[in-house]
Amino acid sequence: MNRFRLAPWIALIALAGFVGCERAKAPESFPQAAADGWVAAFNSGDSAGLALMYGPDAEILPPDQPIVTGHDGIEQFWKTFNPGQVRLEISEVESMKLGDYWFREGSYSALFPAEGEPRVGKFIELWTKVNSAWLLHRHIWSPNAPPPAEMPAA
Amino acid sequence: MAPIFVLMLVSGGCAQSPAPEPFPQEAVETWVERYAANDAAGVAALYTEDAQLLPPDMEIVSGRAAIQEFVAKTNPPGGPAFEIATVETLVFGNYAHRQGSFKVKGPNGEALEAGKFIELWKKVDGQWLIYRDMWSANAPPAAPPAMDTALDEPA
Repeated sequence: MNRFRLAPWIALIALAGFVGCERAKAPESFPQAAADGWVAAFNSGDSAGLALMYGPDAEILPPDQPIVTGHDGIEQFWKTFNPGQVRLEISEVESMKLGDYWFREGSYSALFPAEGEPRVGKFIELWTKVNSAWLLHRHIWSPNAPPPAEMPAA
Repeated sequence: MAPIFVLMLVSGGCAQSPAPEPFPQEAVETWVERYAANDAAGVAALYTEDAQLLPPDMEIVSGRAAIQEFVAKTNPPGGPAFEIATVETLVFGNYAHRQGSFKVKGPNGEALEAGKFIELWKKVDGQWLIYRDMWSANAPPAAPPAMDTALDEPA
């Protein structure tokens, strides 16, 4: 008798657990707000703000330069690269949730001052969640053509 | 007790996920061997059919056939030696991330170029293949010596 009384409760708990599992498995969407924040900070020349969008052990892998690590190094890199004059537009090509990370591939268009045509290129990013904020863990990019002579590499 | 037991079973099953596999280091070694042997077709076979190379100062190279052509052009027989070191690997089910560094060496072992790369690997029909491969040098290409400097150099 007792067993029959418990049966509905057991079924309910099992169903709740199943729904919880399905929710956990549901695909998340790429943290677009974080990516948009990165572009906004870049275009306003906010190198300190940009650096905060990288994880504590993040690395950026710029073309024709060694890897840059750490918040201070990353802030200095972006400060030198773009004090606010370069206008950047990003297009996402593919994004995938990989474990606790997000992989994203895309293309960029960077309009430098005194250049009529934007430089275009491609990038790969690996994002990680740190204290509930999505931050860049790895960031590599390169232009689709050699940069113009005597200009900074994009 | 019974509901608690069922709940534990359900939540335990939910939390269980397969332990991550080790990074497919053997596939990397095969890549290095085939690259050293100037086997462009063999190297291309280690990429997925829809793989992409993202080389510096060039457009994206898409697909296995185009990758074979790219490798054949950039790694001809008698070309420089190539050394690769893995810096970081992360395995996520059927995908794996690898970051590393490379050195290009001349015939006498002199360093011609150094750089870094990021790869995304994908398991296709049980075989680990490269899905995305992006790299760049750590310094701009060396400028050719100026004519007057070259003329001043001792023979």
